[in-house]
Amino acid sequence: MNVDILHQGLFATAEVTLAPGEQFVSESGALYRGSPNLNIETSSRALGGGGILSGLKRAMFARESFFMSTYASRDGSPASFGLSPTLPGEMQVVQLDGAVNWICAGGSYVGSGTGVTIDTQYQGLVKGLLGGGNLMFMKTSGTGPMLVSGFGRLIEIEVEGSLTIDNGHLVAFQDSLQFSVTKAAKGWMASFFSGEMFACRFTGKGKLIAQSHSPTAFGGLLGPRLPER
Amino acid sequence: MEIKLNGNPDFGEAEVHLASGESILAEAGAMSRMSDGIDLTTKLLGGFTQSLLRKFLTQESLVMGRYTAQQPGYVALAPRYPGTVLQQQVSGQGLILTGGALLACSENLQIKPRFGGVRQIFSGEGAFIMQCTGDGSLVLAAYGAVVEKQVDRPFTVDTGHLVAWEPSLEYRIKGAGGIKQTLLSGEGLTMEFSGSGRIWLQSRNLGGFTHWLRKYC
Repeated sequence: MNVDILHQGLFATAEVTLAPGEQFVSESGALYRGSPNLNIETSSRALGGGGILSGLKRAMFARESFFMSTYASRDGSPASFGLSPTLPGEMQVVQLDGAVNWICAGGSYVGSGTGVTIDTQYQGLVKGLLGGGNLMFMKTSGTGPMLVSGFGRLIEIEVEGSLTIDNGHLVAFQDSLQFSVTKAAKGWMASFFSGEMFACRFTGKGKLIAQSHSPTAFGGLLGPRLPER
Repeated sequence: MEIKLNGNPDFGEAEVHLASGESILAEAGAMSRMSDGIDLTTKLLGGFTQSLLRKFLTQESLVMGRYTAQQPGYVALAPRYPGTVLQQQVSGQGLILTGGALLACSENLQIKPRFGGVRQIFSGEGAFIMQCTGDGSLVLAAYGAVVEKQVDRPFTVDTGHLVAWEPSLEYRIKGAGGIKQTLLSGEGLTMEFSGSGRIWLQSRNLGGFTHWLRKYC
């Protein structure tokens, strides 16, 4: 299995090549091209199991898609295909090593190899609602490549000590990190008037991927300028 | 204080590195991430009444966030839209900014919202412009790339493409053609600058983009 990022930058795209017998899963809709021998199966079930319920949880609470597509070669030769996210920006391959799990936030998960189990992780009502409105995150475990995308540039940070991040800029993090949703400022008034309100505070040791720009901020800027549907 | 600009010209952000005790003022909501030991407080721009008036009239932010380092660290600031961030040293006559152009500034700069007069209301960029004076660093955000021009002869600009200009320049608002043409073309209004000074423009216009999107809503 080979996952390459092409045209890294404003309009990054991923090219996946599968040897016969290998499988790759992505959110449905990310596929934009495939070799003639590519077999595509779409269901609400991901590799990690679960049925309609797991699809519903993904779609309703984790801002990911209800349907997942599974790709494989249909014949004895390698199959290749391309995956792209919706927003302009960079993509990154995260290699899972079986030891540390990664959590994807805010719809940043694009796809992953066969050895990676994906599941939704309930954040708790307080964290979920205050930390950007996602009640669930996507939890990935196992071994193999996992693809994430971001709005703008992706920034990988080695967290030691603590890091505060605006939830709109959070892409993914290793679950060796602990996080809490806190006021951005010390006081409630300052938190509110500074426009930040709540932010995620990560502590411990581990990697975190941030995106340079916030999809919710850009959407919030465009929305009021567009007519109601 | 050291300001690092990353990701220009398509997804620019500013990473502001602060020594202990240093602080930076930033547009409300601009913080994307920050290290440990940075305190966030707020600062009203130009007094309470004016801030409130400005918020009410223009929906622009009432306050700025003040990020103060209790220990050496950084705060990363991102505009809401993709494009370029630009650092500008301000001194002497200062600089005039359009409403959404200010991303951050050092604390020794004074930012005063100024009612631009009736002519400004019709510019389509909000009724307020911001006057920046003092000695310090300013970080501007532009939608698209930034074009800097030295103006010595009359110079015409589409209002939606304006980021900042030096106060030595005079301007007046004009329709691109007649009123009818202005309303029909969607081209908005133009500002005609005269005098001598520098001007900063953005290569794209957010109003133009949303106008285009509206057709598909």
